[in-house]
Amino acid sequence: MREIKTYSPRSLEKALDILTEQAAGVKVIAGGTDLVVQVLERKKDPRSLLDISRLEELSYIREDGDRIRIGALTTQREVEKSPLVTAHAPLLCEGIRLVGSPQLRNSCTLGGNIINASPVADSVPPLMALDAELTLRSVYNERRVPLRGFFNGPGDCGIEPYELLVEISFAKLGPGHVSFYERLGQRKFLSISKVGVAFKAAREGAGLSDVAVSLGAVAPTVILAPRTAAFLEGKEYSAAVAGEAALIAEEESRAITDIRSTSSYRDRMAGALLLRGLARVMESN
Amino acid sequence: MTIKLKVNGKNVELEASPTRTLLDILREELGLTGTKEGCRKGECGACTVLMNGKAVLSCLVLAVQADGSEVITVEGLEKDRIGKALQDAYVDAGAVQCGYCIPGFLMSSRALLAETPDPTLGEIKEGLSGNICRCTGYTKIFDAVKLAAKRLAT
Repeated sequence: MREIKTYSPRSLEKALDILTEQAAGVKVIAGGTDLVVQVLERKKDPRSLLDISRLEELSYIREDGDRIRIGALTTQREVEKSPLVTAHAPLLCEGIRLVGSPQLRNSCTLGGNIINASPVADSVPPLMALDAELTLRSVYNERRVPLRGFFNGPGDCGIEPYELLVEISFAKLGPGHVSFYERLGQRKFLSISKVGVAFKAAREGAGLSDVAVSLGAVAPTVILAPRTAAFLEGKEYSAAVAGEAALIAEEESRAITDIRSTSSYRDRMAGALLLRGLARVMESN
Repeated sequence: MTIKLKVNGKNVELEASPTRTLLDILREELGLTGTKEGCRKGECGACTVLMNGKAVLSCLVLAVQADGSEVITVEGLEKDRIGKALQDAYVDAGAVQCGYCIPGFLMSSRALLAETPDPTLGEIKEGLSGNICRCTGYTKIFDAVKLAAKRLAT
């Protein structure tokens, strides 16, 4: 294999300098759990690697008023085990617990799972339901963009080549909120999703408001299901209402047939997972 | 580039291409062939080692990312209280069939018991969910972890 020049800066400032100088041909590596395989199998052939895994300043989980702020290089395992995230965004923990395996989650980062821009990333539907905001930094500027609308297609998102994702933040769910992430894979663990459904809403008795529904693995990017959410908004939960919502989710699912599943099965399962999750959170207490 | 590691308590310094993996270095440069190569893409867990106390897949860690870290492989387990208890329990419970996956299972078990000294069966299953045994002898592996936990607590 051709020698790949590797940079391992210890500060964000230095990392951004290198990224700006190297521009084309440099590939940013965080946890490396996807990129290492791609590089070793020659699917990606970068001239140089910018290893940002040493930037400890980007590894944190903080409470900031009504928001939770997570540094982009926080490992998935740290997010999953975080009491703050468990308390205020349990659906994110449910999603992350399904990413790869414990060993993998000790390396892979929350930011990497986003910038990789895979439609099957299990941490992304929960973050989209939470209406997460991303902070992107460059030597020129810092900007905040909503995660909703950030993805263009598989492996393609709205980050500039000279930018790094530095933070992910979202509003805490209150005690009156319910949420879930349900997904279907070939196995319980170590499998890639065929379909994933994230849901959050404020709940008063059986009444639902502030509803968001997001679907993974059923379109070129993780998507919102706005018609499903609008249908549930202001409704009282019942099995019949959930059944109707599931039919709308099936319509909003735009799955394809590939090695992991068929389009019609995935579309149907998007509805089924919504039903399953709603029953779990609405009928439990 | 020069890579510095502390492997099983010993400081080592070696020359390695930055894109070689930690797995390559352990097996080929340091002769620690207890760590196994299975799928080479993070799906089987056979190459699991502890890096700075955490179980990681050594096939997915580049040498450059491992530089400066402390690594424990299966060869280092007998000097470790939990590790030794696990090795003995795996033998006593008959957890080993062909054995190829076992170094990885031991390292995941070590990480699990360090964090959760008295795991439930569900916690054991989740803790070992990143390791695949193609002899499919999972039950005795779970028994071995339970046995080690019991011995460590008494």
